[in-house]
Amino acid sequence: MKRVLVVEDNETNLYLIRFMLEKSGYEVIEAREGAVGVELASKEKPDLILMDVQLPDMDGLEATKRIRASEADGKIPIIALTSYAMVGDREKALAAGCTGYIEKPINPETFMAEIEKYL
Amino acid sequence: MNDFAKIGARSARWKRYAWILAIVWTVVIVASLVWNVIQVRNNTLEAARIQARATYEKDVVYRRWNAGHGGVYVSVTKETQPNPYLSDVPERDITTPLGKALTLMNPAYMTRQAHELEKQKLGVRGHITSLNPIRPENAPDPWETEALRAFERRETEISSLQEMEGEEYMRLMRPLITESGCLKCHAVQGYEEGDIRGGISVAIPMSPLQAVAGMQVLTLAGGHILLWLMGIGGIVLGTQRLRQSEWERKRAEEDVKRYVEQLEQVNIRLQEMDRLKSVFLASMSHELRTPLNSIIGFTGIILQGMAGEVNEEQRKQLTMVKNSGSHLLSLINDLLDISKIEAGKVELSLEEFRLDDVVREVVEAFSPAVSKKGMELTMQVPEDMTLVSDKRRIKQVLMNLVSNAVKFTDQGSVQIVARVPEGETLETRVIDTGIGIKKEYMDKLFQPFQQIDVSLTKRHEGTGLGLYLTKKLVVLLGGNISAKSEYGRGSEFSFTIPLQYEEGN
Repeated sequence: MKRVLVVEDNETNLYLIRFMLEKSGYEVIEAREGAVGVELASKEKPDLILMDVQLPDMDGLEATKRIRASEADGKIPIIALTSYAMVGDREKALAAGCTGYIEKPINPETFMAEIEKYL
Repeated sequence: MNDFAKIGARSARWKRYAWILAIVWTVVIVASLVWNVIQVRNNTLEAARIQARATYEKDVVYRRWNAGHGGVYVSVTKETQPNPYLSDVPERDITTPLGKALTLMNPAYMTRQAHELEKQKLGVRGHITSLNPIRPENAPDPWETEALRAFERRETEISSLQEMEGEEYMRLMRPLITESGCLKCHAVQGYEEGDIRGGISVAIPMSPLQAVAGMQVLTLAGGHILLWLMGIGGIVLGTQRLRQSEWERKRAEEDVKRYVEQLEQVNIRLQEMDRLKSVFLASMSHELRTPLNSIIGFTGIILQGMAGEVNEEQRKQLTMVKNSGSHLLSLINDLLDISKIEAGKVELSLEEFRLDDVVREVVEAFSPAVSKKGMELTMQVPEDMTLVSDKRRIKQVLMNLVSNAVKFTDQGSVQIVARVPEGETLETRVIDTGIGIKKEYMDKLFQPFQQIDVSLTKRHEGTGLGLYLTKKLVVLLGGNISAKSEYGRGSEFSFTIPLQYEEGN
């Protein structure tokens, strides 16, 4: 069973993503803070990371940079959850080392298909 | 130099002008007075000459009368003794039958006596004289001698002002011409008719005439002083008025300047408030989107059956919730875009791309809706056309326009036509055969919340911000947008953007 690390501070969103992923047969690891996400990424070595950009304290971009810095071998795909509200988020996400991005709000009809491109 | 210093300088200039004007005025008045006084003096002299000439003419006339009568007899008195120079004349002295002694009086004798009378009564002096006088007392004085010599040079009149015994006189002298009556006495001297035998000099005292002239000069001087004072008064008053109005104008300018500054301040505050409004809108819409995430997300999950079986009625109602959520989301997205553009927070992300790729994506996005309606969506875009611009924004513009076109067209077609009509400008047109737009709505097309024709609103749900935002985007990309339409036949929206976006474009 493939494992997905979801770094997201909003409980409702976290529940939504977790629900969809588990329904599609994935194991979900949760992180509600950027620092925890970095820690779990190296400890759990998930198959995919869904990274919310807007996080308290350490934001998703900084967390991504740290994960990339600590990686020794092979890259874990990191998908940024970008907000339409923030100018240039996607470009910044890619620059920080993200593999791809999904714009929020999540569209349940296409969400799984987009994720599976990176698995 | 500040404004008050400027006013000071200008005020000093006014003062200088006033001085110059006053000096010019004074010169004019003085010149006029001098000229007038000279005129009075000339007139006085001329009057004296006229009087002198009259005296001369009178002398000539009674001399001629006397000579014409061959002399007249007068009573011998103490003052009127027989003329010793007529001793050769027969019957110089006669006695009337009653024994009264008479003596013959010739013109010269008579004139002399008349002159004595005139001198006593009028102060007018007459003198009959000659360079060759019979009576030695009639010898000329130096001035008369000069005049007599002048007559020999054919002068007919000599006059000038002379001082005699401490008084000023107008002396005038004219020649005496020998007439036939004169020869009775003067033939012995060798004179012939027509010869200049001597002259009569007349001296008119100037004091009475000068008294009159003095009065005239006084009157003139008074008038001129009055005139001068009026002029100077006018200059002083005018200058003061000018300086005052200068001050008032300056003060009014200061006021206007102050108001403008106040307005600028207000304007800056308004702009700041506007910016704050946009910032508020941006963060507000972000906050609004978070709950929308779950509304759209969960209704989507339930509709997909991921959370269990859904019956038809539930599906219908959940679809309404989802559509309302999506509509709200597009509203918020549009609002957010507009506030970002208005806040000047939009950064264009420039890249080089093929236009036909973008248009194809748009066409593909609408193909389900188009085929459902049974209409056509076509594109005519040159294949090799590339441009440097913000791909996502151009797609957004096209999506908005094509979305409108598809929404308002039930049959027929929607065409996307792109070309480069001139230079470095791309023109893209979205042409539909839809319901068209009434003329009266054309000028409201690009204003916010102006979805036209209320009855359509329900059938064609929109945000009311689409074209407003589209125009803002096109302008942001350095272009322009326009529309034309025929009601009932279709519409055409056309926008231009530069092929190469440049900063500040």
